Amino acid sequence: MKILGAIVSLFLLAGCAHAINITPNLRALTANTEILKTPVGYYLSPADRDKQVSQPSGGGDSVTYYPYKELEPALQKVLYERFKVVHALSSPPTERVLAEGKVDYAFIPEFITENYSTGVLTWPPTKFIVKCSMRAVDKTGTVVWSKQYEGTGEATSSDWKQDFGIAAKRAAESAFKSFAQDINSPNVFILKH
Amino acid sequence: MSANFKCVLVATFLILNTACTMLAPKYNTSFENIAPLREEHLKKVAVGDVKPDPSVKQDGTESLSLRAAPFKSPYGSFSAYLKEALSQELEDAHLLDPKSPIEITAYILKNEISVPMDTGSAALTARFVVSHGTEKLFDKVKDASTTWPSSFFGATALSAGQINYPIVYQKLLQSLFSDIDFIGALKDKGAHK
Repeated sequence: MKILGAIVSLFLLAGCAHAINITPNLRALTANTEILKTPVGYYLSPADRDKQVSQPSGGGDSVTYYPYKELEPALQKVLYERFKVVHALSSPPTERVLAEGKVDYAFIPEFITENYSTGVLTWPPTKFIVKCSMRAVDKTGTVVWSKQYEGTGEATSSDWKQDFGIAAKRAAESAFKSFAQDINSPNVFILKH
Repeated sequence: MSANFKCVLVATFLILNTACTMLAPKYNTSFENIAPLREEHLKKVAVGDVKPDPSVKQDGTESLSLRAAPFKSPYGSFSAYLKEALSQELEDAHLLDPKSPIEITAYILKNEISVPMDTGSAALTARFVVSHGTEKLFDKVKDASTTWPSSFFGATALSAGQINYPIVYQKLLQSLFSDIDFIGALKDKGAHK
């Protein structure tokens, strides 16, 4: 019995790393706005796509996720809702790369994430912050637009049967809704050039 | 080990291993799946019935569990999950029109998920039928499977299973959308590039 108790306690108290997925609900980013024919692209480096983040969470455990790979679908959704042609560029957006990709503008995102948990015995995040720094360059490589967005998401234990990473998804949804609002504005920078 | 600490451990063990119902994450479009569809001139389609194939018992495709925890669809059933996946991807490809005379129906033949200690896996098989009135334009069975690293620890294994389950739907639709006979069935032969 003592041995069993020791084994159970080791399992319970071990500092496990738990995978979460931070891709938001893409349905929430549907725009129903006029689709522009301007061809655009976006660039994520292979190193960013493969970047795995591990952060301390509740109960002495940690959470792991891939911020760029898992936020890319949200970027794609917002861009596809506004532009007819969207290309993922395979190289940093120089004048030559934009010409070869036949795109007029390229978006370059940077993501920073923060995870918090108030759980003593539970590991899922109770608060999550997604910060998106977006900039767009034109065919000459000049930055024609840039803006920062920040989304915060919270969750309680009652949300976790739905999704252990729900706080992160809510944060990402909030940040990308703000980005979508700007991109879908009738005054969007692309119309002014 | 004090008696109080033992009680806390036992209580924690019981709480963590209670067979709580878990939900699959909401479906998100794979933009890699729909990129080829957006480049073709295809007719818009409606999504019709999606249900378990009459040849299989309903429990065979609708009753899933992650170890002892019942695993449910956030849309009420896994047939509804596939219908949402199909509708969402076609909508994001700008090919969904509920009034279209061309209709896609699907019959689920297999829907499985397993989260043992070493490798988790999910498998999905469905028959897709594209019809225009009484004319059958496409009728094929498609299947997909996916695997991921699992864990002895229940919390880690369950969250990994939950995260990875939607991927098998994305793979199934990738198989459908990349089928030249499916593309041929939807081809708008009167369209000009």
